[in-house]
Amino acid sequence: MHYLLLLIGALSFLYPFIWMVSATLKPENEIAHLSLIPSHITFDSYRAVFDKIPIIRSFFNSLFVSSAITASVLVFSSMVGYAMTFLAFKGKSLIFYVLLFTMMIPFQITLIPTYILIVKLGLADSYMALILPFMVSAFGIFLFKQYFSSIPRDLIDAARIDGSSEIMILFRVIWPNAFPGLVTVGIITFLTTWNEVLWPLIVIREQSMMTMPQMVTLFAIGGSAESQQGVILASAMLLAIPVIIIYIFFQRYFIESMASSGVKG
Amino acid sequence: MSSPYLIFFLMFSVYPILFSLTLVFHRWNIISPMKFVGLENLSYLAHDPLFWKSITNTFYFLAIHIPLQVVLALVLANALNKKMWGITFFRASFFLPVVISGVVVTILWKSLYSTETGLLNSLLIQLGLFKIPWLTSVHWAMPSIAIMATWKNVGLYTVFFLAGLQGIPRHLYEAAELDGASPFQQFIHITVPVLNPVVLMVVILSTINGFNLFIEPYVTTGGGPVNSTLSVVLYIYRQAFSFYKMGYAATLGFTLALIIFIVTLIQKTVLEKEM
Amino acid sequence: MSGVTKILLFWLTSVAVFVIPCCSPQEDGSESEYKLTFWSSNNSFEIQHAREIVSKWNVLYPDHKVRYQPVPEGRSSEEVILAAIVSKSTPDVYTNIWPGVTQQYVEAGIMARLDQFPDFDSLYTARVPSSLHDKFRSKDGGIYQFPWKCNPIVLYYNKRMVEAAGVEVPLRTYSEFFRAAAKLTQDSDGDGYLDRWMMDVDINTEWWHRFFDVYTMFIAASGGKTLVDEDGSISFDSSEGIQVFDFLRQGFEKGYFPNAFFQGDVFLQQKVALHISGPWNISHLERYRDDDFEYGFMPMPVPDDYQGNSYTYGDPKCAGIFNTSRNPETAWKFLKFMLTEPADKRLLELTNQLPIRKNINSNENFIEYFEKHPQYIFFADMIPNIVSVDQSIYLQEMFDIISQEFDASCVQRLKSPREGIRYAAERCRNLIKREEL
Repeated sequence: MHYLLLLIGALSFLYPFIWMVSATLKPENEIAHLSLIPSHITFDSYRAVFDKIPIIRSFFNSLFVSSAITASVLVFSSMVGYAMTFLAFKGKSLIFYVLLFTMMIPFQITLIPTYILIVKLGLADSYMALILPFMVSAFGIFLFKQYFSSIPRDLIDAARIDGSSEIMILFRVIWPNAFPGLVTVGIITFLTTWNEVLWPLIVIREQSMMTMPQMVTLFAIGGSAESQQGVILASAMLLAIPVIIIYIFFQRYFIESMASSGVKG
Repeated sequence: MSSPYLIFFLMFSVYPILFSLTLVFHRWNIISPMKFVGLENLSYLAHDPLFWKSITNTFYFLAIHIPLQVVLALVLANALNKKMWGITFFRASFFLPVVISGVVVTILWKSLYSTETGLLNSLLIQLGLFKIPWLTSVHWAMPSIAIMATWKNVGLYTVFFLAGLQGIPRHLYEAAELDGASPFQQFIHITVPVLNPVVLMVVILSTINGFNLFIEPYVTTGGGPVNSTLSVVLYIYRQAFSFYKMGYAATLGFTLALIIFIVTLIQKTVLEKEM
Repeated sequence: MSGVTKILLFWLTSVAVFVIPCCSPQEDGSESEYKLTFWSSNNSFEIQHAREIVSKWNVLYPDHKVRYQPVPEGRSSEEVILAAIVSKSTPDVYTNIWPGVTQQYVEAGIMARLDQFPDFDSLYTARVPSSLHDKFRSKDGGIYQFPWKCNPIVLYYNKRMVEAAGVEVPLRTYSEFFRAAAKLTQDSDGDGYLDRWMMDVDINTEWWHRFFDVYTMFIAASGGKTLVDEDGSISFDSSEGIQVFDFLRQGFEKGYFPNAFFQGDVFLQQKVALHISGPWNISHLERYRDDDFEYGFMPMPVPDDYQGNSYTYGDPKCAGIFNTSRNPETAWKFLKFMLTEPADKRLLELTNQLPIRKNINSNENFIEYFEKHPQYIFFADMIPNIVSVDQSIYLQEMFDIISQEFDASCVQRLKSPREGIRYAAERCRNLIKREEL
């Protein structure tokens, strides 16, 4: 019975997705029907999506932006995290508290000024507008600080004695030893930036520069009268598929990353 | 060594905060020059029925979302805390909505909730019941969104609870059982105290999540009906990017941040006392 | 690596990341050969029209070449212009100006005043119907926008459904409308739930949806008034305003208008008998309709006691010149070129949108078009009676206020139409007071 309850629970999380898959493969007038099996499988909904919006382009936009941000966060946040953990420099405490403070400021405050900054720099409708504000993340810095503090100092000292520069220590010594930390920060950063939709809605107006969630959102609420329910669901499905595929293979890493970030947070 | 990055970081974090603060005392629509208006934005906010409606909407949302979230996540975590066949499958299915974009979840549920053609109402009709106006009635709209948000996030909190549960040594339960404690009593006296910090985290994260609601009302109801699903961030977004009232939007942003801070502080104090 | 090298590396990578992703597609090659930049909307037919006009001009005036760019596709062209304004990259000429934002642009000092050009008056009086002469004037008395094209809003109806229910069109008054609605709203499959409605009224509370219900109906009911009178008082705080709200409220109350979000076009799906829209809908309907779907148009219904002409919202768009232009005289010449009869003729032929030109039905240049497209005669007749919007910087907010009261009074019926109108008027009055500060 315990098992049965779990099964019902799992089903209530999976069934809506299964329904969505079936709805996107059904002819439009059958979507309201309860049965999951359509009278015939049709890809019309998907065809319509590709016809109406440049969704493939938005997929590559999202891929590029999320990868760039993740790479940047991994490199720069780990650098700062390293400095905070192992180096002594003037104003270290002050900077620490400033970082802490900025991390607590909700985005609602910085949204508009950052938008103004982007527009004044002439960067609206560009990749930089999407990447720049997220390139260094206080969250990343803190997580790295946590992971790095468990690395024994003698490793670092030994490398210093050997004549390595700080940067080389970071990449040759720290990174291999803090691999789980890297994976955690990497996955969480990639996932959250992939799903980010409010910021692109604000700084990107040009259709060819839109990210995938943004494009699907605008498509779903847009006034294009021809978009039937099946088509909108198909666009949502296309947005979900990349993540679902990676999730199926790497779900252990996803779950463990987010769990450990919670524990450390 | 990190100074360039720190400078860069400061430019994108500290400068916006300072600029935002300046905007609070001005009226600005981007194309015309800024006009200093002193405390006018603040006094307007104090009497702005829509802002306060969005705040009460959020509290209504949280009143449904948080208990549902905590209870469900606890129950699921408890159920998953056993060695059994298929545990990976179960865990993965609960967690799936967490990784999927909020856009997908919202579009999916908007379809399910559709009064005329949605799955939920079709089911209700089949069961001989009546159609529920999930997203078009003032009474149902916010609860519908709260249910959807719970469905999306409960997997994450289940995983947190699970991690916490797995830290409790088995022998504590065995000893209690020997002493004659029922499973329920074991739960209350062993499980809950250990999980309290996790509960606190879940409550705070859910609260922040609730105050940050944007894409859910944006896609499903546009804030209606009669502003019953208007979220604060949606209101700010509209003020800033539909009407270009930058000064007022900045004021709203700061006030929201303050409210979140106060609420989470209260939650922390109350819940930590119980430890 | 020394510290200096590291810093260099950082800046190099940053620069590389800056430069490699391509910049906004608006970057062109050499700009020096072009004297003017011209933007239009991104409607594909308007793009065709714009291209044609520009190439004709470039042949006639090779020393004053115009560079043409359509506004990029996105949420709203107003936002694109805003970004252009802030980054000081506005074009010389732009033809998609919605009169509702002009006042904001004027007050920001970015629009060139058109009535300063010597031959402005003759062109204006020759082209623009006299009933509209003052409707595009800004608060300071100047004219900064030239009315270009319009899309009068009308009531479409499904011929088959109307005939089958024994309803006679046109439905002139509210009473006639409701008598027909009682016949046309049905539960056709007998499952206890209505599935055919009289008309779809959008329950979305975004401010611009009101152009297709409250605003256009108020214009019809009040004999062509906008929201604010010349003396600054709120014109919809009147019996007409209440009548419009009451009409909509009754529709929702009796179930003639469905209270639901629909996906897709319910008029095309033949789930509603009537639909409020503009002439752009014709090509859409023609493309997607079933063979048995035939439609007609009629003017918006009016209160039973209304006497007078049929007015409606015209959804006009204007052309203007931005002050950043370095060649305003040439820009004005190009603008005039856009407004000639041959250009208007091509506008009609390519886009099926109506130029705001007087006596278009009796003009021999356009007879050929109307013979080929008789459906558009109905719309052309309405051109002198179209109404625009108030020149107020708070226009969108006023519509937002009306939208919320519409939701409360008409859709959810939580307050009476009178209360809704009164409250909306009060809030709008407060807005305007701020404007005058």
